[in-house]
Amino acid sequence: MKKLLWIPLVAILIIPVFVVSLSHHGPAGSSVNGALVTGIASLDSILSASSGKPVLINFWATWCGPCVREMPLLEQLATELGDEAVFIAVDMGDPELSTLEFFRQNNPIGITVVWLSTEEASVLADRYELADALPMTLILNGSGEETARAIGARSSEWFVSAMAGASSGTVEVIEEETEIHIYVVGPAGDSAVEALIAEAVAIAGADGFDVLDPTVPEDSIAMAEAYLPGSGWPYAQLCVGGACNRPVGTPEELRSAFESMR
Amino acid sequence: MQLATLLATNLHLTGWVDGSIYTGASKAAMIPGLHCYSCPSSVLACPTGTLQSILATPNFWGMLAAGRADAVIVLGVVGFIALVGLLAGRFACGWFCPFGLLQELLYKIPLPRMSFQESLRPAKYAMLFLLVFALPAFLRPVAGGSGDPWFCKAVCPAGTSLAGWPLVAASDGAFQTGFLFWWKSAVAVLILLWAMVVERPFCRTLCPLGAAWGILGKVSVFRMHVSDACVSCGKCGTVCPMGIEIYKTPASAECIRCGRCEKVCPVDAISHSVKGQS
Repeated sequence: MKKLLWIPLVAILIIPVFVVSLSHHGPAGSSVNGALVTGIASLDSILSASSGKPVLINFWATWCGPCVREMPLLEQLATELGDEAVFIAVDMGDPELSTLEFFRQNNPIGITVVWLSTEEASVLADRYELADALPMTLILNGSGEETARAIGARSSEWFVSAMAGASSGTVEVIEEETEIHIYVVGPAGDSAVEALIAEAVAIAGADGFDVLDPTVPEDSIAMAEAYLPGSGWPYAQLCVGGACNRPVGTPEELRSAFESMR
Repeated sequence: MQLATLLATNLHLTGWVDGSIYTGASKAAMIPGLHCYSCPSSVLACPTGTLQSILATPNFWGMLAAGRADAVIVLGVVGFIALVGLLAGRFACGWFCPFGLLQELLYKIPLPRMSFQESLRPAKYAMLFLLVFALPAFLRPVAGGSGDPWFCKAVCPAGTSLAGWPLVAASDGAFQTGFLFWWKSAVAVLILLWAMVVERPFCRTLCPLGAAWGILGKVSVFRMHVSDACVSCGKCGTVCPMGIEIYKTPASAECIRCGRCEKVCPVDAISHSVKGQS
């Protein structure tokens, strides 16, 4: 027995941290992929088939941190509601289908995913008058009428309440968050990064942005936790409240993203 | 030698004053020892921390299979650790490691000594295989998210004492000090107190880097050799900072190749030699 003293030593060292760390994480996502279809026609046929049931349409993209963090909440609620409601995740921001397919291989999404090309995403954005930011969620009642809309990520409670509202016919009024935050990603000292930082200061002020250097392990961990893209830097990503615009590479594009989200 | 290594790898001294971390090009290289990347003066990276950071990235195995550079670089880290270990086992622990030096200095404080519980030694292999490799590589609290550098997060006293404490002290309250900080501070204080009464207790029981190099030392190019001249007087055991009797187990995975035993051997029976030669 004395020979095994190392086991309690290891257990004492890791169990408290293990318990505290894991209790701070949100729900886990699905372990199995649901259906993947492409095109507005596919989306419309799903909507037609769901007549009579509340529908949640979540607009997202693989590069959108708040979207990826929010997805497990939707999957959990979809599981709880079963056949009572329809959940659809519409990928609006990945020009290549292969990007989504690669993402799903490693991050299974249990609810139905619809991929749209850039052109079709633009058509759908016009149809639903979507803002140029992700994630966005629309809730439709059984008659296909919009009962709630959210720009930016929402809590589990919000989704539960909004789906209940779709069933009862009440229309949700949403208070939008307006706090601006910008992630500037790139190696320190790079002139392109400096230019993005200057524009970030102009838009969000001295406290409104983070600079992350992907070559620094701590920063790369922070990027992973925020689901920021690990390649394609230098870039900047503008987020307003819980909604983020796509990563951009120049100060001009960053300004344009800001204007589009105002 | 350890002091020279410490000075040569800690040139960013202003970091201790302003609480900054050096992020220059040299941080792409690793120190042969346990020395936190976030130590304010460090200009090199810790191999253990770097390995965990890479393994903990989201979709690490997918990126590795796809040949992505930010995952494939793990081979460089593993290669570095393997190269050092295959050269001469744990020699870096005895000659370069800053945290080994810190423990040796603490042991110089004249205090009553405690006996060491030998059965604790295997814990370092659990640190290596569980906390440095398995948990960072495979545990994802949120599907698709990142893992955690579990050894750094739960245990590493080098990170706490040489990075966590100075950064918090210099940050004027900017750093968060929640449960993890206080937990790791308690672990570090206990280990440092232990090091005052037992020589190199962390190296003996918990160091994952030492565990890896100890295993590789079994097949390293340079090894300890005890000749037939040995009279089993046991003097080597009395000076060994790792508490081993080299004349009984010349190929011990615990040996840090510090050479103290060679110096005290009355019959010059102990030597370093290339594998197969005596």
